[in-house]
Amino acid sequence: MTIPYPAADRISPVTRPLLSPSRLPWPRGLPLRLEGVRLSRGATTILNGVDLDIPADRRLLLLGPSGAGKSTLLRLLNRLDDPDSGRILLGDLPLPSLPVRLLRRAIAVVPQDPLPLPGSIRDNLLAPSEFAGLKPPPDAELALALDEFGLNPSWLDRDASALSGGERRRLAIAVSLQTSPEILALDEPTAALDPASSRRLVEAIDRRVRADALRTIVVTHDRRLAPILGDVAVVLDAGRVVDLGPTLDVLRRADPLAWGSDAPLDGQEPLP
Amino acid sequence: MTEPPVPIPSWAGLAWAAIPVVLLAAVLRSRRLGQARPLLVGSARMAGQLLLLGMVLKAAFAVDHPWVVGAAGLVMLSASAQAVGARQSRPSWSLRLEAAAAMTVGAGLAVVVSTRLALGVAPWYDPPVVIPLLGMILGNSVNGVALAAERLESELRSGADLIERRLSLGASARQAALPALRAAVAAGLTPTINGMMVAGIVSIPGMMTGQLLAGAEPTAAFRYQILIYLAISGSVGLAILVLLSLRTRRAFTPDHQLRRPRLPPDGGLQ
Repeated sequence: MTIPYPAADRISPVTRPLLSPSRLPWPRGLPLRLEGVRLSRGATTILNGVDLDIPADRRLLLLGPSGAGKSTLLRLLNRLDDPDSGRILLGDLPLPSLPVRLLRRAIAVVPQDPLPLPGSIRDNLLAPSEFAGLKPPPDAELALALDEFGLNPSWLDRDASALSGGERRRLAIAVSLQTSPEILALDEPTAALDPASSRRLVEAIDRRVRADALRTIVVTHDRRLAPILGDVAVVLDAGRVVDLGPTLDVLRRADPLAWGSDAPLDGQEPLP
Repeated sequence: MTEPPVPIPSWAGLAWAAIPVVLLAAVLRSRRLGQARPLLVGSARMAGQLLLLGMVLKAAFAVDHPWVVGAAGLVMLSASAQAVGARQSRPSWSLRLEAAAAMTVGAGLAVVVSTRLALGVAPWYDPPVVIPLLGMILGNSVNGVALAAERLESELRSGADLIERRLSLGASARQAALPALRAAVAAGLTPTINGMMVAGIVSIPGMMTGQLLAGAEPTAAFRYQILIYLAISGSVGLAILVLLSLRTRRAFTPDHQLRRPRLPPDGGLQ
């Protein structure tokens, strides 16, 4: 089953260039499956045979200590890297069989400390449509995108590099959502944010999940926000899946000490 | 050949001309400022190399055959590729080969255009025209190509995160690398452009000086110099474009993935 690429409902078909990648249909609603995924860098094994099924209707959490391979796994999902062996499938389509630029618009990966692109906040928000050769969205739409993530909508002309760390992260998510992805993968979106900002960010993502049927894959160390960020959790350790299940169950089983320095060590109950 | 209006420097004359350099070296050494030895070695190498070049050129001009020009071109080209490699912080054989290919395209086109269209030299390989012209063009190409290649490598390394961010937002490899390419083109082409900007105002170019000293009409000398500048900037620019396109192709996979430089055996990244 293929449904036209979601950019279609934002940009009129007339303005879309004939050969633009966004004209191609993206197969929505398919599960992601990792089969025996291995990746080494030099002599270091980062992923050591990961097998994982990610159903289309679940929001996934990736947990585990620093260096477990979580960030590397996200890089494989939008093919910034390819596994040394094993494969990743969308439904029964191996990722390399899909046009890579379309794949990256459909599976948006936001790195842990995203640098803004040089230029203004507007330049950042317009970059995805520019790369795809699409008509740039109007300022009003860009302002809404800022407002959605708690950034001042009148900041379009500000230099993006002047933003604070937390603002940069929220801008990066807003920019990545400009491609209308089906899957949004975030690497520790709430790290080093104060609790109020974390909560706002999580709620904004949650709204998108409900409104646009956005699927999310979130790497986090935050035990309190974890249950809101995902309903299924996978624990990676030393490049392998060591636990898997409903988030609350996984959190109860997990050894808080194994989660690295960001994890609260007092074993508090996660929020419902 | 007409008699030159100024005397050709004799060997004794050249010895006199060396006095300032020798004095400078003495001062540098006595004040412990360094560079005395490289200065003297450089001067000696320059004299020896040019002496050798004079003898080789004399022989080459005497043979007057296309093969001589071809052989000279090959030697100059491989020396230039070697020089480009020597100026990189991470030289590689692929870089030397690609630099040689790029300079062949750039210098080849410029030499053909200048000799066939601009000068109408006969025979087409006329060694006294083609060899010096090729030498000048390659000498300048080495500089531009080496600067552009070094700059591209450093931009791709230091800007890797931003490049991958652009790729993640759906950019093609070329779109993602465009800022790095712009910086590399600027680094490679700026010396040549600056040279033309100040030509005749701040400096009298070396070749024109040589021609004037050898008794050429100033009007003829400036036309030659214009020809040289155009040939140099065209060939340097073209060589830079070819090299950058080859290097960019090597830096990315066909699937728009940035190739990370090979890590040391102990791993490095997480």
